Amino acid sequence: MGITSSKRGRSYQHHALLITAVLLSFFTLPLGCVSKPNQSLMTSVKAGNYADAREAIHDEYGNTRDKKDDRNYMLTRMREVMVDLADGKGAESEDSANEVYDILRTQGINRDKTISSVVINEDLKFWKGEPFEQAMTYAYVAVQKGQEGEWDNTRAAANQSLFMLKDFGQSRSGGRKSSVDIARESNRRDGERRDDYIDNGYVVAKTDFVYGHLLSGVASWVLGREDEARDQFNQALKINSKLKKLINTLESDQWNTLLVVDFGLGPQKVAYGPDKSMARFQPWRRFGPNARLQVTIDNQKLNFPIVCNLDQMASDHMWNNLEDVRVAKSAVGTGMMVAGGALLAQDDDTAKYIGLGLLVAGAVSKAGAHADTRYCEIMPQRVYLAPIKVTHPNTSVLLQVAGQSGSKLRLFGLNPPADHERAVLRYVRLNSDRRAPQWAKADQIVYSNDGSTDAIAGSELPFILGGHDVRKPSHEVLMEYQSAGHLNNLTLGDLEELYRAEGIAIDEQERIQYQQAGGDLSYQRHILEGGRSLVPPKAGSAAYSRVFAQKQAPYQPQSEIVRELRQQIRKEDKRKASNQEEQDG
Amino acid sequence: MTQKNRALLVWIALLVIAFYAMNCAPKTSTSRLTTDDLQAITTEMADSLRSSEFLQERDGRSPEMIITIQSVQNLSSDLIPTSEQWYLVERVVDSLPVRELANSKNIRFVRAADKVRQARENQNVRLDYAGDRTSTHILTATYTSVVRTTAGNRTDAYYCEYSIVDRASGEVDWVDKFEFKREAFGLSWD
Repeated sequence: MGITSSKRGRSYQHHALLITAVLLSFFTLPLGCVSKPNQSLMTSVKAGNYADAREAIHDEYGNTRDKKDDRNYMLTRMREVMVDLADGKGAESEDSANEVYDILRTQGINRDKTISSVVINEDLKFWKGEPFEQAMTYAYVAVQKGQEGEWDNTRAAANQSLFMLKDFGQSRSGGRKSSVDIARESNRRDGERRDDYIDNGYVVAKTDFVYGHLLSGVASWVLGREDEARDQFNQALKINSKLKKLINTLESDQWNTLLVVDFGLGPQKVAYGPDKSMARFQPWRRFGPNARLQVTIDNQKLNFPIVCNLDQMASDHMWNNLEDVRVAKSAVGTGMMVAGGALLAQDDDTAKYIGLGLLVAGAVSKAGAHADTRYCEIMPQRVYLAPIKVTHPNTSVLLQVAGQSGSKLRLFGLNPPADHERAVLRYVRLNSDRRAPQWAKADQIVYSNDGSTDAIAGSELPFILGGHDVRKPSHEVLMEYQSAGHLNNLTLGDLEELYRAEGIAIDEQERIQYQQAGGDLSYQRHILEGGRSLVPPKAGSAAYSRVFAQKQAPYQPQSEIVRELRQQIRKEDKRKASNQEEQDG
Repeated sequence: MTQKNRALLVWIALLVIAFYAMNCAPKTSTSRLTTDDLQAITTEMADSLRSSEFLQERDGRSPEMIITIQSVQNLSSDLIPTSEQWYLVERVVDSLPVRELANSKNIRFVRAADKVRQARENQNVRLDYAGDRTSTHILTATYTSVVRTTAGNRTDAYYCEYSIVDRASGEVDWVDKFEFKREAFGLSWD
């Protein structure tokens, strides 16, 4: 009997050791998982170098990009949507935009992770963002759809951004309650172990997301649903009466092009408080809080107010999910240590083993505790809507946030809407470095391309052969080269073959094909910027100015056939020049 | 510690482990339109059109009818990508015996001008393709929805209406609708 009892005791000890080991492995896993913003991505976005920004995303998240169960899957896709839109790649960002929309519309993704996030760490959850980040993401999807002329989908996505919010009201000092105020109130009312106040102490409030109302109103207006548009505009006006003039314009026929303009970098998410268990957003850099967007078009100067200030949104408890209940988690860690201590005091060896395990696991849990500081680091600080009237092709527009010379940007290639369109939407992201790059201030584009009909010096030869033309090869383009005395022996097929020999994608179809075959990001970069794509950024985007309004380094041919042809052209040009000199002399 | 208490302790620990293990398989929920929904709608609408009086009353000697297919007008609260919008009307037509209808009912179906325009822009068709097409009727579909949300669930009631309208008179020659609900559980922000 004694022997049997002793064997059973050892068996329990083994079980206890096993359980202790498993518990430890659960609790030690999250240590060291504190996330940091991608600095390289932020630097590229501030300077308007979106091709570099895309590579920065790929460098950090490329391996997990397609893993839908990765905790940062949506964050990666969202960053892609924002960078692609800024880089003038509207249609190309469709897949990612649809993907993030689908995730946002999926409820309870983290339903089964609530306990582990409380006991272990908040950032074990699948990242879906704070409510303000979610509203902005819906708005980006709406903008992507609007840019492609899908106004019904713009309306749908914008309406999704207008979800109800939880309002815990004002603090005693009169301002909006902060997360800390709410946590304190919760502790005062419910103690540390219950969250009744957090769960039920709020009033369900209508959103104050003016930007979403305006996007929805614009989409309805374009769809000919004026009554619905008016409702949305009135809601926006109720929230912000300073938008009266902007809304009057939006309800009229005085515009045909809506510029959606982002500026600055949004607030940073930082951990604070005991155990760094709480998280809050703080401004990245302070800009003039009411600085208007100045727009110059056809010598006419206009200015527009801010429609969305993310610093303000992020600091309001209504726009945060209040899930940084690290205090609760910390309390659980403490509870485990207390229980472990009590078991250690027992005479029984098994109880001691389990007690030790709980004690260590509790300590580890407390030590590893931190708030989830993952956030979308390239959110803008503010958004402007600028409805303008574009009356002639190749219109250029100058933008600048008042008092922010670094934000100066000239857009090129804006065209009036086609006959079948009531309005068009263009997304623009302004630079937020202190000094504007030269290309942003340039007066004209220096490369002929498919987005413009402007006459450009050097457009009688393709860029790959030493010229300034980056248009897609076509009969018309080849005829222009030939009428200037070049490439007379070439057919259109021959010209296309030259690009293929260089591994350059001449249109979107080829670009996707090449990229999928090689997984090479250089097909996302224009040949003028050292990439392998001839597909131009959307005319009127910041990327269009960056790519075409600055002189780029000459092209370095890769293939023998292009190198030889370029030599021949040089010789021929020299011969023609000397003949001309002789004639002139 | 008694043997009973030890057993209890082991069981509690095992339950904790099982609880974490469940975290590996999150259950998700959405009230968006699914592929099955799209197929069910289009199948029912094709059946309805096939057996409609509008088609039954016609024969090979009836005046020529050219029906333009337009993409869905999405007035629902949910995003329907362009490709799906076209799928939702083209599948209805594809389900019909198009060649037989041309012979026995003197009906032809053509794509809407905006799709042709897009194809032209992509240089997928000759420039004069469908240049001066005139249609007598339009086949179109409108999707609307009503949303109800509470803290933990969301219901989208979708209403899809398909119709064929005489362009000259504005008369509706055929109309049918399809209604259904999709419900999702869980916190929308989570």
